Amino acid sequence: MAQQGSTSEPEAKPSIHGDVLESILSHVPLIHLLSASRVSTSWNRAVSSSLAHLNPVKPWLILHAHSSRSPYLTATHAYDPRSHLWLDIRRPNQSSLKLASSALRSSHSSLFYVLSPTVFAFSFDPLHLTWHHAEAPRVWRVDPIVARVGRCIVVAGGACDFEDDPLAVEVYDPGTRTWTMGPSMPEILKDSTASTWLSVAVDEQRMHVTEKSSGITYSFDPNAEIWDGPYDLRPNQNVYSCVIGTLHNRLIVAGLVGNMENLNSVKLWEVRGEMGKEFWWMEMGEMPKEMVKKLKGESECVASIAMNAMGDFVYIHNPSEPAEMIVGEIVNGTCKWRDVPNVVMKDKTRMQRMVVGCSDVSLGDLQKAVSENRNFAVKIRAGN
Amino acid sequence: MSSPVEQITVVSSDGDEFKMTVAAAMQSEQLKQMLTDDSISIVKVPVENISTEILVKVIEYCQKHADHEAATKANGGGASDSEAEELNKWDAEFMKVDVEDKLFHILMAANYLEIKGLFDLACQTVADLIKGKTPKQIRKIFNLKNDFTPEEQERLSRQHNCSFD
Repeated sequence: MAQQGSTSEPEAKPSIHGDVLESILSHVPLIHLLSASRVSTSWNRAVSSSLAHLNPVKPWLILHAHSSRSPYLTATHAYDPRSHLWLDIRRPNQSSLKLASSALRSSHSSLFYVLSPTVFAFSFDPLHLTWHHAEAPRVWRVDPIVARVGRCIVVAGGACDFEDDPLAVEVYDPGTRTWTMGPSMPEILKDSTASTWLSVAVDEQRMHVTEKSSGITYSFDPNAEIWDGPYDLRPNQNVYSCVIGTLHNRLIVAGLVGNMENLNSVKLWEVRGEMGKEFWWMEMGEMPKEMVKKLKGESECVASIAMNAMGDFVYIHNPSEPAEMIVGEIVNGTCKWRDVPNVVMKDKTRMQRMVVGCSDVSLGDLQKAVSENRNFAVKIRAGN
Repeated sequence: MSSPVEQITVVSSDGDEFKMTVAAAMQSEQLKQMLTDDSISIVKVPVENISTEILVKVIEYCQKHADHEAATKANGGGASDSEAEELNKWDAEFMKVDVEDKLFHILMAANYLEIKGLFDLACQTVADLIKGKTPKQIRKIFNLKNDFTPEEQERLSRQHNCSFD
């Protein structure tokens, strides 16, 4: 138990410090720790220590809801697994404009972007407050692959057949603000619209693109300008659909086992070894049956799932049944599962479009957001 | 109609004596250690840091949770959802103390006696006091002084444009 020194006279209020204070702070939601850190120098230290040792910061699920009906309201919400709370985020107008676009998409959890023939804007900071604007890519694309690898943005696919090179790949360098043409992508990916058929993940050097139903994967290294593959990332024949992500730069695969009309189980694997040489799968966990049932919801069919992965967390949901979020936390190599009702989507009609990502929000990020933006606020959502 | 239960006596800092069943005492890691150590024969356990008022509350918590554990065992294993919810409701009511000082004393007592459930419960309750408060308001609750130097306060204020009040 916590160490504290002797207490003072029984009548007076005991002073709270040391390990007891840190234990208390581990129960305080991140957004309220800002205030706590400014109480005194010892509380400032206690907040840091509590976050370092007792209850660390964990990646937030970021959920942006966009109504496709008048008055076209948009709202940003988040789920903080550290305190098990849903939050409402109020944003300054500038970033709201981007998020209000019906062309808003997310890729590999951390990238939000808007891409149209004339506009390309993207954001990758944890709270999506900073938007970078670029010229649109040269090739006219519909639903392409978009990914941020290192500092560059890669755009591939989705090009119409009348384009000179429908397999064109373009790479944007934010430093020089220029687009360069990269090596053409594999023909097999050409007709797959990214959002429906493909799953994208990135590590420090490469972008990985997996065809969900076959598991066929290609990797692109924008610096070396090389496409690698195909690799078959399906862990076994019983997996009928898979999605990929990265945790601590390592590739993970979430697979649906059974068939579309009868989903038997959902499993999580880590890909070990090296694609290109020898690789194998390490099973990290299997979703409990009750949660698979929740994932199915009302539908008989589960064609595919969406996964957002960061740090030690995976967030899984069925795009056709957004009312349930299944959260997996990797502890000592195995996955602990938790089902989190999506309080945001619960009472909304199906006229809401959901764009989902994942962010490593730190106390510093919140501090900066609050100090630089008068209109920025995070509140704990009622009805948690 | 009750079968004879073993009891221990705890003595508050005010000198008042209270009987506790062994089951209730086992909720405290500290008391549990004493009870399971055969080399010690327990007669009376003085808890010098804990006043009568607080000790009564702590014993109440321990007894309730000991009873709940026994009932769960008798039913053959895990508590049902409704039983768990009922206990949570009881815990919530239990923590509604009239004076804030009492809450802090219960927290310290739970820490001293190593009663994990009560310690976590008290920590959560105190954490709820902090939520949504300004630094100034928090200082008032915890009897604290703002000991940032004017330079530190200036630097942090400029850096983060936020208030220390």
